[in-house]
Amino acid sequence: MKSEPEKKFANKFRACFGILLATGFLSAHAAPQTFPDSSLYQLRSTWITDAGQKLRLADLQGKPRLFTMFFGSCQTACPMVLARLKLLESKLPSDWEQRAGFVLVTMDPGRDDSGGLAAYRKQTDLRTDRYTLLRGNPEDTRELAMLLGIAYGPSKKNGGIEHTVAMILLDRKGRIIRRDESLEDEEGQLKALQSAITDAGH
Amino acid sequence: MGSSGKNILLTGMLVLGSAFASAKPMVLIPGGDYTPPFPASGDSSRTSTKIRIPAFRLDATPVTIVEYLAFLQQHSEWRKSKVKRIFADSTYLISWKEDLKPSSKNFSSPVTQVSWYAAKAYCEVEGKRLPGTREWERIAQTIPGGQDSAGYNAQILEWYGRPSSKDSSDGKGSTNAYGVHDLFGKIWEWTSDFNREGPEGMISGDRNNAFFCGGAAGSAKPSGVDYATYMRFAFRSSLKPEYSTASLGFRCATEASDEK
Repeated sequence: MKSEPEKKFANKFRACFGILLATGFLSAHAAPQTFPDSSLYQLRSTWITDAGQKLRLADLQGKPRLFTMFFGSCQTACPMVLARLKLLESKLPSDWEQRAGFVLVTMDPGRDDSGGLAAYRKQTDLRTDRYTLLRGNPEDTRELAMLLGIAYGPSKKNGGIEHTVAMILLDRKGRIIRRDESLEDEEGQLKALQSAITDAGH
Repeated sequence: MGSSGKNILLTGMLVLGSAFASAKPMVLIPGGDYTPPFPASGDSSRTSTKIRIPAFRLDATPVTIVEYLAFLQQHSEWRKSKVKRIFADSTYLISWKEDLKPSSKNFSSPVTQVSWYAAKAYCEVEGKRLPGTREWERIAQTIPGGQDSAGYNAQILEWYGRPSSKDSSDGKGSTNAYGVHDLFGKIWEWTSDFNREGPEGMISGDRNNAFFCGGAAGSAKPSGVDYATYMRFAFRSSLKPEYSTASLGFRCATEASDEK
């Protein structure tokens, strides 16, 4: 049986030792996964690019990224969103890809395999250093969509997919800094992107 | 001494928990037609068309506290002290005394106060997934033998009308025609795509508004849609994936491709 003061001391000692241990642990592991609490890059899911490479969202850190979800056979909304992305692209400095990126995630992973995504890239002329095309499993895709605030599901009418149209700007640590659910505010969107790029400069 | 005894007990429960988790009985739901209760947007006929739902397997019972405890033991990032706010709001497991100490003595009760993200992670660890809304609704539409639909729906509504029913966690639940237990009567359940809710095809724009328009229009409630179903869609449309409410739990599903 320990006396009360002894116990207190033991607890203090344990606490200090714990902090030491924790500090040692953190420095040893270089903390690659210490994202802010609101960062989407905390997701541990694995994604495949159109080049067939594995990727975790954490790999996208370091640059602001404009995310959107799409699918290859999309006839209406997705081409409009893509046109918007290209418009933004044309208004950014010519070397913007060094400081930001666009990320397109398919919400139809069943049909859009890596080959399908590669074909989409070619067909729509998306530069590999500017556009990241991703495919995940259905559950991880749904999870990312939840975090991005995008709802989707099969449409009953034409075998397509009904979905929220949204572009979401993440800062370099994966936090949402702007959402556009329509194509209305082009200027605001461009400004947000430009300022995110500037912020990422340091 | 006392505390180490408790630890042994707890460990025993966790081992038991893992055993339960791996052996959790599942029910095969044969492929079948499902009629969504709401017509597609822009469909002036206001009638829904049938959709084929492929066979799948579903946990016979909701995930229990002891099963969830076993999951937390293995996956510390989902303990209440560690979970990231982006994945679960502040009511996540709020009644639990500590990370690995549920408040309820009845460990076989369905776990609640879990977010959609947590439920998704749990099912993934089990090699499963959350059931889709259409899958869930398809089995909910099945009336148990010997009951007419009016009586069945009245029974469901009676439960929906009750305040939170904590004491129903003692095993006296319902069993449906496929052998699925406690679809009603204990908790509400997460579905993988709960947010593509309500009148299908009303995803874009102001979803709540779209939903309630559907409600007000109908008089507007398409004929054949019982009020209990309507309430479920309304409830789902009020949820956000990080919500961890006291009445909301889950069960997992898998594909049935390996089954006949």
